[in-house]
Amino acid sequence: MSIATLESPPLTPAALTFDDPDAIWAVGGAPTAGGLAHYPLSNRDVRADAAWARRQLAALGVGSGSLIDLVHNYSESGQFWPYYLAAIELGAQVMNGMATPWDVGRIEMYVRRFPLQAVLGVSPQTVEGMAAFGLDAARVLGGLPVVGARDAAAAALESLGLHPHRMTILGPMILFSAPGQADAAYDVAEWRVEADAEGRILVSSGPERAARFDRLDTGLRGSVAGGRVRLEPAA
Amino acid sequence: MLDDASDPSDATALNSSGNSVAYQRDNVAKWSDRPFLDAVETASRAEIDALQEKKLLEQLAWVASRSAVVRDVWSAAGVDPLSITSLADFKARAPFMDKDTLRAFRDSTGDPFGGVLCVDRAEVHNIGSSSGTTGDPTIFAERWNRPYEGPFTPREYWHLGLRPGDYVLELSTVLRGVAHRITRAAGAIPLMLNHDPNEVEQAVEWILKYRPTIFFMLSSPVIYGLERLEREKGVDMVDLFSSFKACIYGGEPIGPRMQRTLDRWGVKVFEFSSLGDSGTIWECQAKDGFHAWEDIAIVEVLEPGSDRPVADGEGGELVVTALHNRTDPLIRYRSGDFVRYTNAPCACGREHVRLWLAGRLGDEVVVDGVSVLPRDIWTAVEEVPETAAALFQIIRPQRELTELKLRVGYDGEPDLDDVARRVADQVEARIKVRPTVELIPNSELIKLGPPHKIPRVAKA
Repeated sequence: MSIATLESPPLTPAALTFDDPDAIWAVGGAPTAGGLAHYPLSNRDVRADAAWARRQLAALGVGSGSLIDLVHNYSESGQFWPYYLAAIELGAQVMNGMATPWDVGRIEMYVRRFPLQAVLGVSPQTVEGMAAFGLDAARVLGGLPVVGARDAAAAALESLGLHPHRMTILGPMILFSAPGQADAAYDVAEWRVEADAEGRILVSSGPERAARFDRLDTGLRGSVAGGRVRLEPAA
Repeated sequence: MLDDASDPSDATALNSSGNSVAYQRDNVAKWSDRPFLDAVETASRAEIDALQEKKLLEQLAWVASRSAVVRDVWSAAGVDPLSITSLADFKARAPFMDKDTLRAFRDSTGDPFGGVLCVDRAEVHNIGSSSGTTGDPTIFAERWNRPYEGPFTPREYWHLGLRPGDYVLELSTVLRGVAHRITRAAGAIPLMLNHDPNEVEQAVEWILKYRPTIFFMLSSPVIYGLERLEREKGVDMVDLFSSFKACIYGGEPIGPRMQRTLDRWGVKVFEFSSLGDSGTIWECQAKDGFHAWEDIAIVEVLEPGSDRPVADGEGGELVVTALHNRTDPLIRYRSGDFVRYTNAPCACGREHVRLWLAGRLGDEVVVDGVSVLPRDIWTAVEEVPETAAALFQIIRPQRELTELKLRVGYDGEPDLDDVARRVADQVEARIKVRPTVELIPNSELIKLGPPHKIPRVAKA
């Protein structure tokens, strides 16, 4: 048979720079006091965030052979994607569920069918959805080694007798607090986080990041000291 | 040589996009001013057949010892996969599998992958699933340190006009894998937002800022959200869509009223759909059917319930065999999708088989002997202004019914009895069956399923 041949095409400027560290990987969304802010992430940013995420996951016991379920919506890919790469680097396998009421069935299915190490990103909508679809959140999540729940969801799960890690999407980053811990570390090499006189948590980007955040109001309140953020409960 | 999209690679490292470095390098090497990305796209029928046969025999050798469900199914049929000698021999002797086969294997063995996983679980990077709207979700495993194994390839985007450095508006879900990996493989920059009709205002802001080239993806709920925004906020939709070379619409058919809306906005819409869980099929610039890539899968269209192929141009059940996927391939998988097909060359210059979708066999209800599919209801519901978003469900406790019951979404605060009567009138005028209509607000109906498609049939 005849074989079609593709000649070597000329490389375009984009082809030459596509995987450069400073080339833009994607545009994500950061929750702020004023709504969702779009912000670029470079390849370098993703690698830096993945290195941070790797330490976070390792601290949660994620390692070679672990199975984890990352519960997030697509607009949160900027914050969660580094956790995919980090988990893979650690030798784990990643599943995903969405932080919506209708997707709780998939989270329940993964927990039922696989020996998960962690479900990370459980949202208030997840907890509400489980109730609405007749699933007992304590039963679904109670047997897992690690549950990471966002703010109000963490409180709801605690009221059910669980001990979740608390997760907060602070603008372009994710904070983790262990059960009983009041504050959470952030990556001081990448971000400057501060609280203003009124307790508003503000985020500025490090000099190497593609995003130029300058005291971005995250809409959250609390205090910052020693590379750690202590958040006030939402009003 | 023909790029068959499944050559193994030694380079297993992932780049920051989650694609293998070697795969990305191969993609970059293809970028040029040509209309097609991959040489195999314009292969002749003879080339396609020869390539398929070679890849099929390799695939059978791969799955024979690795796929537990293939071993079960083929053993029960008394056929050794290694005894298959040709494409014709395969079509004559290979047994079928379907979703029930995988579920039965899963339930009897506890294997969550239904026996299809052909590699050690430790080699898998991502485990995704279907939305589970019709039962326990189907699980899909992906290895990312290889060439393409996901639902679609960069070649679709390339043909529709995407070029490296462009932006892609991704209103997406997180179900089977992550869409941005393919966008990155194509060299473009994803704008990552939720597929949610309640969040389209955010999308409008980002479109005006970045002026993306591709919109992935439109759906009836998103169009409903945009129509509301146009009505309530006066957004100029013609300007909004002016930068897009292609807007990808998926999940469901486009009804006539929705098509008129898209035409009014000047939307260059291209539809895509599933290829029996082994890939996706896309419209090309010629917009004359959906192309299935035959270097990725063998496509058969058979009489439902039989192994007899239907003639070119006729309709039947879509049966698919994965050729590219070595992780969890489906072999002679009866999809339950009803399609029409042709092998005639397309005006776009490609000879890969084209399909036209007719519906899912599992969605059909028979009301007093009359066959009814969701698309039969679509136009009727669209024609009533208060239900024009065409968000509806057929209540299907079983296939055979004595009464057609519909759950229909409405907008605004109308006289519900009057709306229900007009919807029933429209349906009866088209299919000669008068339904009982339950009305609920659109905003409530879209909560019942994944945001890109509400389940069109519901048990209750």
